[in-house]
Amino acid sequence: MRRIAIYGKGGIGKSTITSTLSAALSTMGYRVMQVGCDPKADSTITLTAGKTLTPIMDYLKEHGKCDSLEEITVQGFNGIVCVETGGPTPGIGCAGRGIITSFNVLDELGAYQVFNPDFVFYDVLGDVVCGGFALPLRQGYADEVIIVTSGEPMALFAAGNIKKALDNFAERDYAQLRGLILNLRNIEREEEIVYDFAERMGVPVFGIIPRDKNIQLYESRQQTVIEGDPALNISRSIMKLAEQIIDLGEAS
Amino acid sequence: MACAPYSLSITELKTAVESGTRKLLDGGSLRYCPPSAGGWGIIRVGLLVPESIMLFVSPAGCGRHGAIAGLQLGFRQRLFFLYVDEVDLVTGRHLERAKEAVEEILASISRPRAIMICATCIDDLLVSDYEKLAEEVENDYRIPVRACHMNPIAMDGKKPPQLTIQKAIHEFIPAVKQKEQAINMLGSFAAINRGSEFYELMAGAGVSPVRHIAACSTFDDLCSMGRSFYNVLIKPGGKLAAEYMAKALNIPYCYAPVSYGLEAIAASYRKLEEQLGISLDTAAYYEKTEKAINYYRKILGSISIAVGENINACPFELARALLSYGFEVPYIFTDQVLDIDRENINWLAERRPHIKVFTNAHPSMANFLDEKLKVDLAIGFDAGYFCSGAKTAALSMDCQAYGFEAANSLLKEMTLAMNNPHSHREQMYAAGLVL
Amino acid sequence: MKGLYKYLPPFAPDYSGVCSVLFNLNGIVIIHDASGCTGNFTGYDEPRWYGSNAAIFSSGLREIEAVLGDDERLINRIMEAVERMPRNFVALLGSPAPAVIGTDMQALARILKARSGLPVLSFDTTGIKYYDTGASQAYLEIARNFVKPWNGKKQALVNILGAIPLDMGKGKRVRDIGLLLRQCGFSKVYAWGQNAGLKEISQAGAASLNLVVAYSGLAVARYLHEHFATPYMVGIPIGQGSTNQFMRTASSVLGLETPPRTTPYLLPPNTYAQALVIGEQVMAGSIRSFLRLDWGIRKVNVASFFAMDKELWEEGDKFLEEEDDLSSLCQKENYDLIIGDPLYENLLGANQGRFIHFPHVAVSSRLYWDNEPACVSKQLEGLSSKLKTPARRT
Ligand SMILES: Nc1ncnc2c1ncn2[C@@H]1O[C@H](COP(=O)(O)OP(=O)(O)OP(=O)(O)O)[C@@H](O)[C@H]1O
Ligand SMILES: [Mg+2]
Repeated sequence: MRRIAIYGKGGIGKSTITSTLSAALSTMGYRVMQVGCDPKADSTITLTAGKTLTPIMDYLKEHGKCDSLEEITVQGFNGIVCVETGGPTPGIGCAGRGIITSFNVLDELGAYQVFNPDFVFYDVLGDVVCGGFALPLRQGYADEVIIVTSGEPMALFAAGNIKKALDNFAERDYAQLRGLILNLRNIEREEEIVYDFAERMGVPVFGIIPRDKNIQLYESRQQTVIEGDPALNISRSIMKLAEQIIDLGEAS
Repeated sequence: MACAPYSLSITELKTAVESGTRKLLDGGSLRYCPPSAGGWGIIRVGLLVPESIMLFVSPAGCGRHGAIAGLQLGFRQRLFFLYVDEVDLVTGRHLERAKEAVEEILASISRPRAIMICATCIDDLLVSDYEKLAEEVENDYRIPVRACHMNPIAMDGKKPPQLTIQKAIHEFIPAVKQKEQAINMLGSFAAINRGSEFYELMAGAGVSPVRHIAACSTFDDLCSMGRSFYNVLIKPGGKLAAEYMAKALNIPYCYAPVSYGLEAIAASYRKLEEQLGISLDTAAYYEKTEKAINYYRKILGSISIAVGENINACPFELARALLSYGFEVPYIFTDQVLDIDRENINWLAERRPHIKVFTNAHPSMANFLDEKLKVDLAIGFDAGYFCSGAKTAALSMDCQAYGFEAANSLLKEMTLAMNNPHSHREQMYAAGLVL
Repeated sequence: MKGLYKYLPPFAPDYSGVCSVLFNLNGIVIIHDASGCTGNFTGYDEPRWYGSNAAIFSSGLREIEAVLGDDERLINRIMEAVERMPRNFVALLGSPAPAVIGTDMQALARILKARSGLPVLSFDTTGIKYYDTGASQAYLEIARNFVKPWNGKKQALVNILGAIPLDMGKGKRVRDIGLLLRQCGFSKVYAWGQNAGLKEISQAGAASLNLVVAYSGLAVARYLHEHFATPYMVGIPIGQGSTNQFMRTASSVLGLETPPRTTPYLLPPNTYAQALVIGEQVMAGSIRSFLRLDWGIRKVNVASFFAMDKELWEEGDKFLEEEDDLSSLCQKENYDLIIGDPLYENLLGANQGRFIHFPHVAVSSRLYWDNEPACVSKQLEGLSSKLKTPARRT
């Protein structure tokens, strides 16, 4: 089982890329689980097509406790297991704490044993803002971290912060940073900027995802491009990215 | 295994205080909690509001000591607990549940005159708005409701719980324009002993009545504190309450502390004369007390005394008073140094530079009993615990001496302890101390 | 409503359970809290605290540290204590505040272990759960960390598991059980959480028998069974009938003859028709056996606010989640004998039966801990009172 946390600046394309990756790996025959760690609970929206997925926090708000995985998971496109942690009522409670609680629920119900996925993706909100959002990094959850970034300064700043958080945690045996995914915003000299940055951080860039209107097109149909049309250029670059991620596992 | 307990000589402490130290333990170490640690606790103080009930909203564990103390001391019936679970932490729904709880409580008891809702550390971290909750509950039931906080996590800040709780209990008092020639006493948990000359002196100066929350038997009595024209703060714990009342109820205050040394007592009276614009004839009491001191000093002999911090006094002031009475004070156990202690520390350092000051909270205190410190008498359960062979005078917060009577009652309690000692353990556990 | 407690005090919390198990093991134990939680344990959950030199501390957590997630200061403070006072291990416990901010206790333990070279245990206690969960976890952790591998012959050694004061009182009962076990032929009797130190615990694999005297000892008994094939028995010998059974079983483990038997004292028939025992499951179940064997009461139910194990469960037993659960159980069943902590009395309703006080430290704390009724191998004694209508709140 490979467990990978996807981090990156807000709105950078984490959920889009994670879902498309999940879809790609599933078409290659892997069992995949995707856990959205974001109060917006929109990580898996392009995978669940039509089915309603109750975020764990919403379920707990209503029922106090959760005794069955069926209440909080949906098998979406190609059998991908979709989970959303969700979050508290805005303005009260604690969203970071919500992630901790949700992970405890998944643990207690033995989710990883029951579904036995080859890949688990944690799609984590924005920056590492508090203990809760760092939770996927802890021992027992993700082993690998991938950061999605563009060449824009704020995206790189966020990526730098995540790296810093990981360095701070070095003594704690937390997850390892594997590399960057460049999601192009089409700014000038974008690749050069990001490669420079990656070199300074000492990590590789695997995968360059072009901007592509088809993403929005299929998004509006609640699909990933892989589901929509695997022959598209964009679909093929994601398939290539998926292969790289598989190789990464085989190499180590 | 042994390691010397952490201590400073009073001279070293003087130097440290001059360079800004406010605590013997400046945050740099773990904290030991001896069995003698603790005091009234937030719940007990909160329930000083007459005819009130308290709803305590927290993870189950937080209310345990307060509840058991309540069973020991008889206030458990006015106390209700709403337990916060993990889902509440995340969703914040315990604030809604608190409203339901109030509804259910009110349906099962006769209508209280006031409700206190108490939050804990976790709600500090979650920034839950209990003041808003109190307001909403008050509007729903038309019973005065206030919020208070048992949040030791805020202990080193500007609003530590020991101070905010005293403010909270006085927040029920409505503002009254028309003032009377009466005063309120703030800072202590008990009203000044009936036997104190303070009442006579005040009445003689036309100041009456002297009010205190613990002397109020009804909620209306508490409200009448709003009619007093002046507040006398006699212990530092009431500072926020005094400041609040000055601002919200237009009652100015002065600090005229409980003291045990004759000069300090006289100084508090002089301050009251100035601030209240009255004159008090205290000479006779001064002389009488001087005689009493000589009398007790003869009975007790030149005993050695350890002074703790878990007492109804500022440890350094008390040590100074005891020395001036003619006793010896080789050891002091305390952590806090207040601004008002400075003068006393200097005084002590000049006369007895070798006084050792320990802190109850330093981890090395775990092995302290091996030290087998010898004194004749300990004042405070903490000093009594650490000097285990000594007889103990509790000098507790449960009754409040003031004025010259403070010196008298202290000496009486010391004599009683010396002649008729009780089991330290039993006495201490019976006191229901809460940390 | 759920979670609203009007009569009972909050029960001993999870961190108290952990501290109690570790109390005599000569470690440095830190509750990561502002001091109120530690005060709960030291003042209200640990009768041994007075006069002891146990190194159990509060971390002195303050708001600014919590908000900034400044764990380095905690680590430094612990390291300072470790350097000052040499002890066997370090244990780090959570409390409500670190639970809110999600402090990673395991990660801190790994760092402390690397820096101090000592074994470091960590516990995700929150103050939300009760002492039994904490104690159960603590027993498991010490077994995992300190019990040495054992392939040799089993010895005349028995471990008593679950013997913390929160359940068993200050020590008299455990000593009494120890005497019985010696009579059964056990030369080494190690009560974890009471007289056993780490050295004794490390030999646990050599035990011929483990005796579980409270729920908190069950998980570790199963663990030891799995790893060392040590059989375990559950229960406290109360009264003659149970004591006979207990002695027979215990000595049979060593292949020895049963010590002489005594006859149970039977009440006249129908003195009591049905009884309820409220309390920790193993103790309550042991009292049930006593009521059956010595007093001839057939229907005896057990009810508990604390964790209950399926293995010890009998039909009619009840797990109590709320105060109201106890009141309605008593209303429904009309027991003519009830045994439990005196503080339950307010919830029993206008029952005309008899109520025998049997204090439970995890419930009533210091209120009765100095006068625990003796029970091991004896008739149940204790203050008994006619039930009356509970005092109404005014
Ligand atoms: N390569 C791309 N080409 C075109 N559109 C894209 C691309 N990547 C992302 N987008 C669009 O950008 C928007 C934001 O993406 P997404 O929701 O995946 O970001 P996110 O990082 O998950 O955001 P958040 O931090 O808010 O969760 C989406 O509407 C998506 O369609
Ligand atoms: Mg997203």
